[in-house]
Amino acid sequence: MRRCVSNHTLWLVAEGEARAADRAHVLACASCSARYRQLERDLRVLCLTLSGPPPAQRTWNPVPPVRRRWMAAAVVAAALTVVVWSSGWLLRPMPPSSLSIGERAAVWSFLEEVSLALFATADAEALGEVTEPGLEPEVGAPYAGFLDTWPCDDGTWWLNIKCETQPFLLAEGR
Amino acid sequence: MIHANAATDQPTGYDELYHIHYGRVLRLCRLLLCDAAEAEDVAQEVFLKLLQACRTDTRAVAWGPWLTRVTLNACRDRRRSGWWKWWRDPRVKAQNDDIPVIERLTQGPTPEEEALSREVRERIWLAFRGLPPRQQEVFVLRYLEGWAIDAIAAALELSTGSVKQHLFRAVHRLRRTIGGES
Repeated sequence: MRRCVSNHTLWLVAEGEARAADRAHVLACASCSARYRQLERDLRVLCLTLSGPPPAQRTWNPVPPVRRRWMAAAVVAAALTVVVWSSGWLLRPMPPSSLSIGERAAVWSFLEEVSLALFATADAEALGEVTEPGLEPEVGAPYAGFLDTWPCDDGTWWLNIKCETQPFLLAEGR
Repeated sequence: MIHANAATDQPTGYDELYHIHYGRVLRLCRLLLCDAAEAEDVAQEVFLKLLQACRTDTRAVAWGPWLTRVTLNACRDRRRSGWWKWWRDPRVKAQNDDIPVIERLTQGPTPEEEALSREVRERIWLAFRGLPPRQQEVFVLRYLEGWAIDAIAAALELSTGSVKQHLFRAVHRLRRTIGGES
């Protein structure tokens, strides 16, 4: 006896697309005939169900659409809340930290060094080390530019090599 | 105004076509879109196209298949739109109401089918919603609209082999939900 046909072939028989041999087998074989009748019944049930109204009570719908929309909105709101809160937390004023005695001494020595470096020019001026009154060496050259006394502005700047190499010293008259 | 199409012997007047086909088109839209409001929207869109076509197209047109094709394309376009994909899960279902029963099944259910439990019907609907859109279209056209496989292939611009594959897969998946095929 010929082997029973596959589900696909059985379906082709139902569609009238199967080969004659397959159709003959389905007619002759009790098992395949039963499967064929079951297929017809199932198709009838499927058509009948799908051509009618869908069930009104959607017990099989795990997440209804309205709830899904609210869930999406809730997720967005939660994400925004987290972003706002975390940015506020990061930007909050830092409280003074409690330092140990050794750390405090290191901080003070660092601050003293900074202070010395910042006020060195003022000290130098107080000691009369600045050559031009009112113009400190470091800032004299830029001011010279503002006061139109920049020595490299005339048309012969290219004759003076210092305009290329040491313009600030030139402006200070060195 | 009602005309008879000489070539196909079908009515071509918009009003008559509307009365004949609106229920069918609406049901098709509801099956494919799973949403009653969207389905009505798309059905209106389809009949607007029909109105325009009736005014401009003077050729002999088989309006029934034409309407089905336009409906399928409109539903597909709706499903493809980005917001629709995001907003609608394919498993989200419509809470419908009164889809008209198609003509070929109006002889009524057998006692066996009457006894179909609500749970089985829900499982079938759930499985149908879970089918890929192409399988849904092919299944609806073949078993609910009664189209031949060749006609489906022509309408969907597929090969007949491809239509058969889609159809068999759809039937296979749907049958598993009712225990008809293991």
